[in-house]
Amino acid sequence: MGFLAPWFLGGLALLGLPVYIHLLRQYKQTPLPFSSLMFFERRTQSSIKHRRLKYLLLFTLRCLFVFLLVLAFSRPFLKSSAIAGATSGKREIIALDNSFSMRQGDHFAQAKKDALDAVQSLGAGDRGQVITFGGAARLITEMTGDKQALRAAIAGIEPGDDASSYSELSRVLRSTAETQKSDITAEVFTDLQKSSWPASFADARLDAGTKLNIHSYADKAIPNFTVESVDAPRRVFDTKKVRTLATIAGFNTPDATRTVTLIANGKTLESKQVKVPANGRATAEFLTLDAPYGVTKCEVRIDSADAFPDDDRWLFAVERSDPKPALLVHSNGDNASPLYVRTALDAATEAAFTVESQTPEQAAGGTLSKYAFVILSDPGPLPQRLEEEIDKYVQNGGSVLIALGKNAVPGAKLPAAGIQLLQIHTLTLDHERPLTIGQMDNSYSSFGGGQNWDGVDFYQTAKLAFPQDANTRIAARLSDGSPLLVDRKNGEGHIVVFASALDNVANNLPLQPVWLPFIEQTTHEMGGIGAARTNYRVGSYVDLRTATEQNVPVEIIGPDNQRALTLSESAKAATYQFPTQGFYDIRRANGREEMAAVNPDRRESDFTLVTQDTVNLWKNTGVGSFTGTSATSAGNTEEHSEIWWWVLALLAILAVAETVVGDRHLEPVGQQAGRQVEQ
Amino acid sequence: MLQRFLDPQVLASISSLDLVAKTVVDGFVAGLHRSPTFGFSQEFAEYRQYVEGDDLRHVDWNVFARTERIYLKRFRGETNSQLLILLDTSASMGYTSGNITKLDYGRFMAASLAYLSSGQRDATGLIIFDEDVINYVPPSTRQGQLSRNLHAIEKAEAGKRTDFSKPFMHFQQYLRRRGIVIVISDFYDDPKTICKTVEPLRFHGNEVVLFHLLDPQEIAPKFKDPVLLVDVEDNVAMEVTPEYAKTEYKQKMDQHIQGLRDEAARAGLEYVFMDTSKPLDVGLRNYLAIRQRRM
Repeated sequence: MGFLAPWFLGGLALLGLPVYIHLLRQYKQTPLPFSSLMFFERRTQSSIKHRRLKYLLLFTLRCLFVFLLVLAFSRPFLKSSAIAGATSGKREIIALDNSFSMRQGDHFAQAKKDALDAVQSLGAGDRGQVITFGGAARLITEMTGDKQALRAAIAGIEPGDDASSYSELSRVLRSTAETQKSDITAEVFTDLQKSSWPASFADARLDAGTKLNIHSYADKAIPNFTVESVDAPRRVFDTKKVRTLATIAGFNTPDATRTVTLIANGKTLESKQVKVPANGRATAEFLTLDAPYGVTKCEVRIDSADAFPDDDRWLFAVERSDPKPALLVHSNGDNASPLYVRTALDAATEAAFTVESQTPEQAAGGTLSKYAFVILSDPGPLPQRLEEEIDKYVQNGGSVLIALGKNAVPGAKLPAAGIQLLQIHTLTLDHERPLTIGQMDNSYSSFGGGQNWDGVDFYQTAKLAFPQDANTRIAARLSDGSPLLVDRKNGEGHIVVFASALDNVANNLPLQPVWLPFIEQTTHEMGGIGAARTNYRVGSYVDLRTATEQNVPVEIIGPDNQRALTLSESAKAATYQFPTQGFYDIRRANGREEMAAVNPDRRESDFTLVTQDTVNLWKNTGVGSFTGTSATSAGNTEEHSEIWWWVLALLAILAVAETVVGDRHLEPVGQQAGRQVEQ
Repeated sequence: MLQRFLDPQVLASISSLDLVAKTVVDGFVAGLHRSPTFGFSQEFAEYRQYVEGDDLRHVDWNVFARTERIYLKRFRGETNSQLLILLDTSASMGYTSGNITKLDYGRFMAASLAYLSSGQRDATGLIIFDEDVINYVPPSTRQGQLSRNLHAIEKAEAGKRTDFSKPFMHFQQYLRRRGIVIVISDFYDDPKTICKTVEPLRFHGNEVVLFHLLDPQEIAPKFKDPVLLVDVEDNVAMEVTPEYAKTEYKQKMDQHIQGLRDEAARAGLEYVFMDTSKPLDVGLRNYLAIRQRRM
């Protein structure tokens, strides 16, 4: 017997309490009136003894109560010999690699067959556990001696599309050895891909006492071509301006020419021949993608003519739509900013937006809800109606970019942002050097792709005062520390404040190369184009809802056209892990429908084997015997059977007994006195 | 049936003392014979012709005037017996181990005796005492004497400690006629002292009867555990073990009872031991036996 929380045994000091109450505390006896004491003599020598004996039962019950209470808290367990006897056999982990690469040939079928043979070879008293490590390691069964359960578990395992990881396998083996507190044997059925091997050898370390038996189904690295990746736009606005770039990789392959085919909705659009160098990569570029309006399921396929055709295609989804209108509000005399912004958007890879230029007075006459985003390019004072419209637009989820220049009025509050313009600082050329960008948050969407802002000078900048709270994000600062780009969340939308103008007077940004990606990425983010991904890897997660979308049902239709989420998951799940390759139709809480293309990890296409030396080193890390603190030798393993609930049950019985016995001593004094006289 | 009406446990449930007495006596005495002697009392018995030597004071002159014959008017004879009940109401008499205290038992006893003697036309008196005389009802055969006695008995409550010497000195003055003196007490004192104190009562020709009342728990205490006993008279506490109570106490109590019995016999006193758990008839029977003997 042992204790999981032995420090609670210190509570046994409480046993002094009943001892004090029954033996040490001054004894109070109820006086019994008697007619005359003339025939009595004072005899007290045996009195104490009898007092102690009087409440002996109650005293014993109370001591037992305290003892059992302390015992229950210290969580006793039994090292049952019966249990030990029943588990005296060996512990065997049957680890099956069901990663994507195991689909090659009959590797997986052979692995399952060998795993079943391993179960069959388990002796009486042996126990086994089935796990898979194609992706995150999963415990399929518990450690059990039930061969039927083990066989059923193995029969139910299907090959997956995820990538295996030997570090994951080692982690589970270490964890199992620690749990079982004994030596274990791991029968590993895998294809020993080098790509599954961890970057650090230490991650694959095994605990001493873990014997590794590796059953490999690849004796040499087989040549394999694969579509490694496809770079395609998520949205298509002009089918003539779509560029799809497919990367074809060869692993352990000679020079070869492969045919690459672009397929949309099952229809072959274009084929190209690419020459793939030996053990190298080649790209195939498709400049048109004749996709119909709506979501199109596309794939790039090669005629690999190799032994592993499962990785010869890459799925991706594109959505075709018309360019969305965007509004640029500028002052009457400003012709520069519309020119620069329109030019930048026209030059973008995806002609996603058409810009309408209006003066504040013109804009005040219309509604903003039809625009993907709004740019206020130093328009000066705005009509009240336009300000209200902008506020409403932002509250409902719209995004507004405000650029501040010479027309801005110091002291005025910017519409819908809660940001106040303090002053317009204009550079005096004779005395000051122009400001440059001082600090840039590369994680902000406007600055993605490693933009180079060197050479961008700012001659006229606005000084701002804004609330310092969680809704405000400073994306860039000038060299004097003042904010250049401030993103403030308001309602469901965003206000992006650029503390300079979008012309070549306040700065030279429109004349610099970084102008195009800055405008493109900023407007794409504001217009909701660059927000979501469409291509995922098997095993990766997709976010299903925002914090404000709790308890709103989300629906995912899997590649098999079945709902992938249960009813409760649909209402509560925050993320979803893609288990297999294919197209997933995601209907989000906000009503937006997306198509996610999920492809297997292409590391699985590289059949290069782990070297035998590495495997031997791996096995050697498990040499020895388990040396856990509570371990015994193999075949004499002890298992802990916690008995605290039995102690609690006994405690409850004792409590009742104590109540009954104690009740006899807690009756009214008169009654008690009367009871002292034996009737 | 008789036993039931004499059971002190049953009597304890009767609130009225005269009803208790009536219940006891009527249940016990069935058809008590009248006095066989004729005397001079107020109850007419018969006429008898005058013979020489008769006391002329008893001639009924009215009959002589009408008939010119001398007749003597005869009345029911006085028993010439007087009963004086001395009831000890010391604090120890208030003890009980059950439902009825020794004092209650003594009150039932006194009431029953008073009722019984009243029916016998005996002059019945009562003295309530503890360490002093608490109440005194002079013996009389007047109408309402029974009520006076019962009323005095009713009011009797356990008082202070017992001291025989002091009240008994005064009793002498109350005893002017010979009769029966019944002392009801638990007699927690030295038997010699008790008898020495009571003995003078006999010198007037009285028959003195000691009714010694004890609770069963006093006769043979039974304690399960050591107990702290407190003397109800002087509040002295003493821890007592069951072994002692079973052995030495019992022995001492037996010696005390026997000593009292012996001393009473030596002094010519009648001694009656009464267990308060037992019926009252023992006391009544003793009284009647003594009275019968005196006639």
